[in-house]
Amino acid sequence: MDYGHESVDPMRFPRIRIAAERPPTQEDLLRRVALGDEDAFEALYDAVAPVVFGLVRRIVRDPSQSEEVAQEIFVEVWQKAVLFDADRGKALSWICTVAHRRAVDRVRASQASRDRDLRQGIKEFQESYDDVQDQAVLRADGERVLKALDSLTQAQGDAIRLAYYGGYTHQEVAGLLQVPVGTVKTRIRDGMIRLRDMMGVA
Amino acid sequence: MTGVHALNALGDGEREAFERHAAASPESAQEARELAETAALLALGTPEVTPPPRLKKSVMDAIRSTRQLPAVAAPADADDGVDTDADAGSSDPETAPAMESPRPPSSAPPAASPGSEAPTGPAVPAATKWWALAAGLLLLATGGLAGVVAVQQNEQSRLQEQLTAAQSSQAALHQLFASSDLKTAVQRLDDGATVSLSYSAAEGMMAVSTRGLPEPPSGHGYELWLISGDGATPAGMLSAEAVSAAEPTMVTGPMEGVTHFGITVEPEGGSPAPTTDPIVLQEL
Repeated sequence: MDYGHESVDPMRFPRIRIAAERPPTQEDLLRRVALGDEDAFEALYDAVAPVVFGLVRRIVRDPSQSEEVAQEIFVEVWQKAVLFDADRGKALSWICTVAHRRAVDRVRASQASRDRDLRQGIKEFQESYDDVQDQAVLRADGERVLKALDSLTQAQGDAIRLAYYGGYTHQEVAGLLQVPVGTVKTRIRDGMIRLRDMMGVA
Repeated sequence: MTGVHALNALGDGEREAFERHAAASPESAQEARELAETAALLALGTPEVTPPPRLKKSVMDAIRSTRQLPAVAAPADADDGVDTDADAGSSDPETAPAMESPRPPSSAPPAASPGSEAPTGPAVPAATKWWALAAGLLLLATGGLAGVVAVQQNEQSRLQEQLTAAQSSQAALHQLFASSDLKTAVQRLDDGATVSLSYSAAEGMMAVSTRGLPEPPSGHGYELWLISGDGATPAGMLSAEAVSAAEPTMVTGPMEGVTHFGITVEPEGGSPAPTTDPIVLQEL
């Protein structure tokens, strides 16, 4: 802000100074994005892009398709920022929900995945899961959620991983695990409820 | 199904069916919301990957030419004419339709002030909904966006009706709502009904939607008027369906020189000139 030639005593604006000292949260940024603030969007992008891109790469796999999907996700975040409600969750969760849906839509729509053989799929999926376990360079909350995931029964954890990280429908998951669809639904729901309780989501 | 839904593991069509079900059941809706929030945490269980710098450049370029959903009026304002939010206090937020969940921008000007640009200006949920509708953003498909899957059932069926009814004029609405100079104006009538107007000078197009308007007296209808220095020109009638289903209606007629929009009650079939006082008169 340019006050021109008039001299302004900054001490006369204590509240402005205090506000400036607290860096904006991601929720603050997203609310500003909703009002068309491009600088806020850029700051938010810088903050969340590695998480979003990591998730997309995990699900979509193909690098160039992943970039396309990530682009779609960020444009959607820009377009729909007004729908975010901080009373209902964190900005990062909201963005991840957008990202996951887009990534899953892409993987299901692409011909390669439509044709993918489910047996091959579970093998690939298992490999990618092992990769992640090896790298294990995660944020603390990421560590927490993986630990929680590991504490589920094997059957619950497998179903959730296949659905969330593999992008498979629950019918496909049933095919992969060779159990009835109803069983998959139950495992996923029971597992997610346990995760919710362990992660303290209310 | 709440768990499967939270993981986006429902197939085509199943998601919508689930969301209708969840909408009818507060417990399902609550659980669906919590599990969606839980599912989002799973994203953090993947290693971060820094995207190439070209992605950021291309995203920043893209958003500069991408229109945002407009801010919407506060759902908590019980006087907004939306019956679905009557019980959506903070203790029960999951039943609020997703489109109406955002808080309003602080110090939002009164909803009736015309001439605001869509991204930051005031708008009412009705206008936002057609915007979404016209832009082909299926509201039903985005219900879970904010981790909120529930759209209350009557709200949802109303939207479906709107969707069906709007298909014929959808192309025109599409064009209107995609216009770069889209403006909206909203009027609240004494009886609580609202009349929303969306118009674009560049496209020379206008659409009107009403909510809560009473049925006109027998043998009568609501006639639309475009008013310029030369007087009022008939601009079509609101069909009984448009009134009862609150669906948007394209206003027909030349927009040049038009300064006001009005609605009067006229004998069925319309009059060549207004014969009653306008129930709505909106400056453009």
